[in-house]
Amino acid sequence: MFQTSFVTMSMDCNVIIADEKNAATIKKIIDEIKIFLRDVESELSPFLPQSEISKINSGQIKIADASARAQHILNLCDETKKLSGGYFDIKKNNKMRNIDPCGLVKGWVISQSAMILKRRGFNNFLVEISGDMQTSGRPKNKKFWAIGIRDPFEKNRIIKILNLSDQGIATSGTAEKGCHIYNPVDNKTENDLISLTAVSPSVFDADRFATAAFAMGRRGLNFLENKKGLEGYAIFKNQTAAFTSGFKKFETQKCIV
Amino acid sequence: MPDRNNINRDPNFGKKYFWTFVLVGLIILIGRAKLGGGNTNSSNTIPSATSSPSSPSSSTSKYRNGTFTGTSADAYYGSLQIRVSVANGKISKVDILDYPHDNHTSQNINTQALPLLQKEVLQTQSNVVDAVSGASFTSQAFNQSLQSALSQAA
Repeated sequence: MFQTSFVTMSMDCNVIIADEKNAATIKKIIDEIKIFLRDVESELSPFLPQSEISKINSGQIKIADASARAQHILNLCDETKKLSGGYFDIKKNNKMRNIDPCGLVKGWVISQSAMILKRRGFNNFLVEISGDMQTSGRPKNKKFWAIGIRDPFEKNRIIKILNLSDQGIATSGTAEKGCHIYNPVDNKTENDLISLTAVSPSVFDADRFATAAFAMGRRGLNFLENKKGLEGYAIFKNQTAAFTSGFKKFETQKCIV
Repeated sequence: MPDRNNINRDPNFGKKYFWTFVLVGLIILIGRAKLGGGNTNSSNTIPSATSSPSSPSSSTSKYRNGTFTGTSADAYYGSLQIRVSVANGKISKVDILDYPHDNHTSQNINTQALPLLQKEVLQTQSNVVDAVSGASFTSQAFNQSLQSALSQAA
C-alpha cells in the first residue's frame, strides 16, 4: 500500500492508497489533492488575510460578492445550523464579522478529496486530516480499515477500534483545547463530554454533526441517535462512554478476510 | 490514573472517602502555606527565602503573578477566550471562557425524545490500526488566545 503524509491548512494530512497503481499515477493524484487543499486554504482560511472569509470578516466584500466556493461553504454552514437547532454556529454572538467555518470545512475537503480519488479510478483508500477521515473500499489483505479512537485522557492510547469501509469518521472534543500540562476548565457551558466521535457514510456529515453534537453536551449523542445514517460514541469526563444503537456493528464486523 | 481495566473498582470509592480527601487536601495546603508558599517540595521544612525551588520540572520565574485574559479568538463552535492564572511566577491554571449559545434556536433539540443509550467503561486497545480518529491537539484559536494572555504576563 502507498502512504504519504504532509501538512495542509496547519494540520497533518495522511493519505493511504491500497489500489494497485503505478508510481506516476499515484504521484499525479497526490499532487492534484495537494493543489486542491492549497486552493481551499487560500480561499477559505479565516487566518489568511486575503482569503474570501477574511475579506468578508473585514468588510472588504459582501457575501454575495465572494467566490462561488466560499458562498457554497457558507450555505452549507447555514443548512447545518438549521439541522442542528442552532448548535452548529460559525458566527460569534450572531455577528457576521467573525465567521469561521472550520468546523465544517475539514470534513468537506476530505470528502471532496475522496471524490477526486474516485473520479480518477481509485476505490480503496483512506484520506485523513487531523483525526477526521474518509475510508473507501478496503486495505490490502483486510476487509475493513482499522480505525482507532484516541483516548482523550492519554493521547498515545486507543480506547476503541472500528472496522470501517466506505464510512467517514470525525471526532470533536475538549482535548483539542488543552496542552497536557494544563487543566482547562469549561466554566460557562454545562458539558460533561470530553470527546464525541461520529460515523457516517460521508465524513462531511460526520464532521459537521460531531461538531454540532459536541456543543450540545450529553444530548449530542441523542441528536446523533435520532439522525439517520449517523452513529456516535461519546466519552465523558468521568471516563465512561455511551454510544448510539447502531454503533456496535463497526466493532463486531470481522476485519480479517 | 486509575486502572481502567480493573472491573472490580468500587463505584462508591469516591463517596466513601470524600471527606478523607478533603481533609488530606487541607492538611497539604496548610502545610505548604506554613512553608512560605513558593516551595514546591513539601518535605523541606526550611522556608526558602531565595529562588531555585527543588522540583526539577519548574523553571525560573517567567511571568508576573496575577490573572490575565487573552483576546477572544474564534473557534468554529463559538468564541474561545483563555484566562491564565500565574502564581509564584508559574502558570497555575488555564481557564477557557466560552460564550453561551443562543438557546432560542435550540428548542427543538432539547425537546426531542431521549432514547436510553448503552454505556460502557473505557478499555485500552491495541495500537495496531491504519489510522486514529481523535480531536486534534493543535487548535489555532486556543493557541492564539493563550499567546495573547501570556504576552500580557511576560
